Amino acid sequence: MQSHTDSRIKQLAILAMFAALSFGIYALETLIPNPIPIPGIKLGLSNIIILIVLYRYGFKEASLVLTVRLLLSCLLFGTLLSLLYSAVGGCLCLVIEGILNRFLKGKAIFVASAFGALAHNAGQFLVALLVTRSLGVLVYIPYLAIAGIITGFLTGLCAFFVLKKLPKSISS
Amino acid sequence: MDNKENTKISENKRIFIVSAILALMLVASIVAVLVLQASKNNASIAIIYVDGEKYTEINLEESEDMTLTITASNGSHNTIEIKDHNIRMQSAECKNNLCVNQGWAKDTLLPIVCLPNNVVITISGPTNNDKEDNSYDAITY
Ligand SMILES: [Zn+2]
Repeated sequence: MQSHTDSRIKQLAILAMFAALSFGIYALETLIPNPIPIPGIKLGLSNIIILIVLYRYGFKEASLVLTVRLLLSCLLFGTLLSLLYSAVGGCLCLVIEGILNRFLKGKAIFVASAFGALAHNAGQFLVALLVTRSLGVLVYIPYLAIAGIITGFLTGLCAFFVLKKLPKSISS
Repeated sequence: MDNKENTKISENKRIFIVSAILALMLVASIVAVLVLQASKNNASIAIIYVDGEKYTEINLEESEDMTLTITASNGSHNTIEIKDHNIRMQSAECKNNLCVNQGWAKDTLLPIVCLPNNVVITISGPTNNDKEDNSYDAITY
């Protein structure tokens, strides 16, 4: 009984660490000037952490880390509108990655990640479409799709290598 | 043993299917980008949207050089510049200035978007009604 509580506390502490890491990477990424000046295109490095938590712990745990990251970034430099963008993108991304994690039985994480990034961009694009209400922005779709597939693949590879090296002992 | 082999095959099949869908989407997107780039030439009508409403429409071929300052509903200002029949966001009071960094609209073909202030500049070819009438005539006669 005692050890069960201990492991719960340990897991909570580890998840809190991942949430802090995810937020830190997210904050750092906003400081890097965007190499491609197209709204909605960025590397999405903080998703590496979400992927690691999803594949090592599960969907519930990853949702928790994502929620903490969203709330922290909104509190620190966000507006309600920017929270809407990142929340819709982040949640769609996690749901798609969760489904593909199951469908692919934990294999080919970079494929799941690419689809996740696509879903993220699609979600943000839909919010942008609703906010701006101008059909001209539809031109962005293929650009956002290409960017999502490439960045998602790269962040998926990062997560793959981290998961390989990450000691099993911190997750049990 | 046999059962294990089967699950292995279906696993690979699943990875293959999902990867194939991804590859198809990538190819389709690249083709779409190439088509868009090819249609770049006749873009000359700039339409400015503020808060989802059409604010003004400018024919870049006929317009003279000028700047235009817009006050967004959140109180921020965006200054749009028209020069040499091209249009850009010259300056903007927004967080990351992505809209300014997008540069000239005709060079990118993409709409210039300032999401924080909800200002959008799209450019497109002229919606030439005469042209369409002509082709219609050609068919009927
Ligand atoms: Zn802007």
